[in-house]
Amino acid sequence: MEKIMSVRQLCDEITSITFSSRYMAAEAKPGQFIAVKCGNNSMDAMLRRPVSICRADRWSNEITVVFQVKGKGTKLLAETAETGSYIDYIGPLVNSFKSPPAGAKIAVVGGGLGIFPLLFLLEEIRSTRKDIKADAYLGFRKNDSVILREEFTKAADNIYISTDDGSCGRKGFVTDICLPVIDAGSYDIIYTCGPQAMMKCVSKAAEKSGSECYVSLEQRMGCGIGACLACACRIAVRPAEGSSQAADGGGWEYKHVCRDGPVFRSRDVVWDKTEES
Amino acid sequence: MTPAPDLTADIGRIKLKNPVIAASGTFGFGREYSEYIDLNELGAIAVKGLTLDPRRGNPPPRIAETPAGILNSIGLQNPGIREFIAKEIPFLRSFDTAIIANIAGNTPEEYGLMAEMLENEAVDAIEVNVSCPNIRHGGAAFGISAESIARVTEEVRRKYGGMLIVKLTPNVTDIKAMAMAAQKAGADAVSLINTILGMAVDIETMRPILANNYGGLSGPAVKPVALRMVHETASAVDVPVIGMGGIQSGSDAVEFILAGASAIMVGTASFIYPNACVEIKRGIANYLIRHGFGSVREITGRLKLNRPDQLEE
Repeated sequence: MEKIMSVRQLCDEITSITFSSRYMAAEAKPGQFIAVKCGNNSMDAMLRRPVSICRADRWSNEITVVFQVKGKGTKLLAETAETGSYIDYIGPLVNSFKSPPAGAKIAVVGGGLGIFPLLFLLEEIRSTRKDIKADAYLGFRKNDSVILREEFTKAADNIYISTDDGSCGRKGFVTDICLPVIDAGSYDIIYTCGPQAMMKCVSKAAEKSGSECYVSLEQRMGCGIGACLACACRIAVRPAEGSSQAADGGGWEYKHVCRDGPVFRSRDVVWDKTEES
Repeated sequence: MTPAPDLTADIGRIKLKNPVIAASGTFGFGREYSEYIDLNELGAIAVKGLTLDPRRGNPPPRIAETPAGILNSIGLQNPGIREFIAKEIPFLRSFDTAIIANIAGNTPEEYGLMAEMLENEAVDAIEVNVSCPNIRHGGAAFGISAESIARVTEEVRRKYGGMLIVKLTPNVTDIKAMAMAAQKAGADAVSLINTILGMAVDIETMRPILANNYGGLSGPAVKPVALRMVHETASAVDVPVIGMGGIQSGSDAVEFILAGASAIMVGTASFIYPNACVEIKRGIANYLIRHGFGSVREITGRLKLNRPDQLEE
């Protein structure tokens, strides 16, 4: 529980909450999330909701998290969160984006809500690593939904924006702008977060060009602490860790976003067949 | 000053230090919660349902939220009983709490085999899961007839000399008959209710939300049903009844105890508040103090039924 310092509506349905926590400021790493209780003992949205950490200021202890109103829980959170009220959360959870090796050239590819953990990653790198070159590729629906542009511009060496309707940046999907560059083998590491179809495209391209790639997965979540096993995702079983191989067929097993993720190495992810493009 | 109430709970062959048990399938192997709460505070931990071989579980989405409840279809994902014995028992034994191994088999013989494997292991009880609604074979298929409950229970009883609990499904016409069958076949206690089979629909995609279509409903939404079934069962059998279904607070727990439960299990509440079990234990103790009772036993089954016929003029 922490007292909320400010609540900002970033665009139509996206809201950010800033609170102060010395523990979080010391512990939070880019890619992690918190599990937030929405509303006060609501029977309509009982489970905690995973919310991305967008910024952790090591000096002021200010933490900013961002969410989009998607259903009952997030609607309730948007309605009840206000300056001076309290945010009830568990976190930071769980793993984070692997930090790039010395001198690496990296790209972040984000769509929609996926841009927030990537901003945290870029700002973290910018403030602690002089040796990293970073490009940001960001996809939005339309000009009105283009947010945090200034922050990304400061945190990355180059930023490239696409919108579905062309009202800002390039018209089309963010993959239209980043794939040719990834294909050319321009990056050592690529970090991606956003719609599954986008992450799958980016992963395939990265794997083909020999770049390392990390994805942040999403799945309907129950507890947030690895107990209920709801947020399952298919992850390849590596021979080295073969002991945990599932009995009913080899090759992959269900791992969990809230226990083993949310960040996974792209080549370990067994993408859904339904997402096949 | 009145002395602290006696929280111990007699559930048959064993005595728990308090009546609050973490329900199977909601508490992992305890490990998951150990960084949030002190596991020594719990009366017992019923571990995630175990099968003979490891199980991947069902495809996602595995969970859907419904009013005052959640619908799940995990599909008994677990590392298999051997890994549980090798890795999880030693971890759990480092805490002062009872271990209840929840087992589910495809055949009565498989239940027996697992019971045999646990016979000489450091577990305090076996909970026979004949009520998982989310798997194609075994599970609830055994739980919906008195004959098959008896067969599975007898098989386990033959192989296992320790405390034996049979976990019942509410998806039956007459829960009393199921509980009596378990008792007759050698169960030391029955636990209920497992989840109620349900469904949630996404009207935009015109499909069920759960990949497995149907799932098990839990949470406050099921509490009245659970309470009625615990009361019916406790009135019908002699063995202790372990009650569960939507318990979120100490007062919810007291309702179950008054209705006849010797101990209670907490499930869904732990997902939301990892320390729910500890708070509930505290709530039970406060109730006892407030009403001047010295022990949980004193209020078990203390519920007095109304006599509607006598209430009329």
